[in-house]
Amino acid sequence: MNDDELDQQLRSWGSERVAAAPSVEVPHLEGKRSRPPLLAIAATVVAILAVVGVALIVRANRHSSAPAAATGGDSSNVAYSPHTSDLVLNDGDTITASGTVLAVPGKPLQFCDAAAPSTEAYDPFRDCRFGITVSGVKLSEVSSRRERAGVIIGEAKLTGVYRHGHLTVTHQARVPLHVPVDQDQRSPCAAAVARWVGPGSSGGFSFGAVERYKRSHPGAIVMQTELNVSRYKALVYVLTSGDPQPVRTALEPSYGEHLCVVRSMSSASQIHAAHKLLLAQMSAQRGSPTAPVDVGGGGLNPTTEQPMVEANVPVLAQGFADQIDAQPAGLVQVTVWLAPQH
Amino acid sequence: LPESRGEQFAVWVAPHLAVLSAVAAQHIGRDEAADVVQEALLRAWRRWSTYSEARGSARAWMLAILTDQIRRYRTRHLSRWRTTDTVPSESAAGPSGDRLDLENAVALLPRRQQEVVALFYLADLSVDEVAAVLGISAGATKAHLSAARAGLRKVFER
Repeated sequence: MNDDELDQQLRSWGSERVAAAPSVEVPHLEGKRSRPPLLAIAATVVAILAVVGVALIVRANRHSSAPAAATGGDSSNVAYSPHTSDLVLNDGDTITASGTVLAVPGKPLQFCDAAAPSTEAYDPFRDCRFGITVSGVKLSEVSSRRERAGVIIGEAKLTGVYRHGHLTVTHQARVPLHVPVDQDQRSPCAAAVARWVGPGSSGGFSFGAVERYKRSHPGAIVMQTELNVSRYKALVYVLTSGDPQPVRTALEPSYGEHLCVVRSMSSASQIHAAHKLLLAQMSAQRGSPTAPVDVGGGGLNPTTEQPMVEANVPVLAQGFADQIDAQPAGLVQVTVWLAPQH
Repeated sequence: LPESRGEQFAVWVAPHLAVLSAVAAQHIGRDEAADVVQEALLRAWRRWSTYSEARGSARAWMLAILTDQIRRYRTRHLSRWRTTDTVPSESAAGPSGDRLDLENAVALLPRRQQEVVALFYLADLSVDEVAAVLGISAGATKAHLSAARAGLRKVFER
C-alpha cells in the first residue's frame, strides 16, 4: 500500500467514524454561566450595587477569570494591588506580547491587542481595537495567517523594544491556541473540604437559605458563590462583613459540610470604590491605550479566594498604577497587554 | 433565530458535535464519549467569550478543549484506561490476511500518534491546527503523522 492509498483509506475511515459517532446533545446550559464580556459583568455589578448596596451575588468561578488569555498575554502581565507598578511601561522597555499583526498596503505595520472585543462585530482586517506600529515582523511566520484584498493578518508572540508607541521586534514566535484550563479553587475552610457531590456535578446548590439570611441581616454578607474545589467537590462559599461564626451557625443546617464561611478582607464599600475607580479610568481615558478596555467585578482572587475586581488595560500608566496600588491588597487585578519584562 | 446566549452557543457548536463525539469515541470508547464531550462543551461554554476567530477555527478551539478533557479523563481513570489499552493490541493482531481493520490498527499506535491521526483524518484539521491543538510544533506533528503512517503500513503488511 503506498502513501496515497493509505491516506485515502484513512480519510474514508475518518468520514465513517464521524458519520457513526455517538450522538451528543449540547448540555443544559441554564445556570452554568458563560463568562460574559467584562463590560457586561461591570454593568451587572453596577446594577446590583445600585439596588442592593452591598451584596455581590455571583456564581463566581475563577475558571472564568482569565483576562490574561483574553489579552493574549501571559501570567507575567497580571498583577494585583498593591504591586501593579511593575507593569508600568516606559520607553526603552523590552516587552513580550501576543497579538494580531495587521498589514495594510501603504500603511505602517500594526501590532494589535487581541483582546476579545465583546459582542460587537469586529473586522480584524480593517482596524485594531488598540495597536502600536511595529517593525521587524516576518509576515511569513505569523500564525493563522489570512489574506483579504491585499490585507494580511496573523497572530504572533513578539518580543522587542518599545519606544514612542513603536515596537522594534527582536524575537518572533507562534501564538499557541489558547486552551482554557479549569483550575480547582482552593478552599479557605480547611476543615470543610466537602464530600463528593457526584460525578459531573458542580454542586448546583440552592442559595435560598443565604438569601433569607441576607434579608434578615442586611449587610452581613458581602458575597456568596459556589466554590469548586475539585471536579467532584463544591462548597457554598460565603464571605461576611463581620464575624463569620453567626452566619456559619445559621447556614449550617442548610448546607452542612458543604458550607464555607469566611470574613471578607474587603468591605462592600471598598469593592464598590475599587470598581468605580476602574470605571472612571475607563471613561476618562477612553480611546487612550492607558484606558481599561474591560472592567469586571464579582470574581475571586485566585490566591486568596477573596473578592476581586479586574481590569484589562493595553498600557498601564504610572498614575493609574498608583491609584490601584492604594486599594486593599489583592482587591484589584490588572492585566496589561504591553508590560515590561523585568 | 436563537435568542439566548445559550441557544446561540448551541447553534455555534452544532456543526462540530459529530466530530467531537467521533474523536472522543476514538480515544476513550463510545460508552464514555458523550459524557466527556458534554464536559468539554460546558467548559467551552464558560469560556466562549474568550474565543477569538483570529486565533483559529472554532473546530480547532473545541477540539483543543476536548483533547484536554480526554487527558483529564484518562488521568482520572488511569487504571481502567491501562486495562483497556491492552485490548486493541490483542484484537489488532487478530484480523487476518487482507482485511484492513483500520480501527484496530490505529488503536495500536502510540498515544500521541493516535491523537495526531484522529485530529488530522477524523477531525480534518490542518497540520498547523493539529499542532496548535496539541501544543506541539508543526514539524513534530508531521513527524508523528509520518510515523503513524509507517506504523499502519507495517500492520497491514504483516
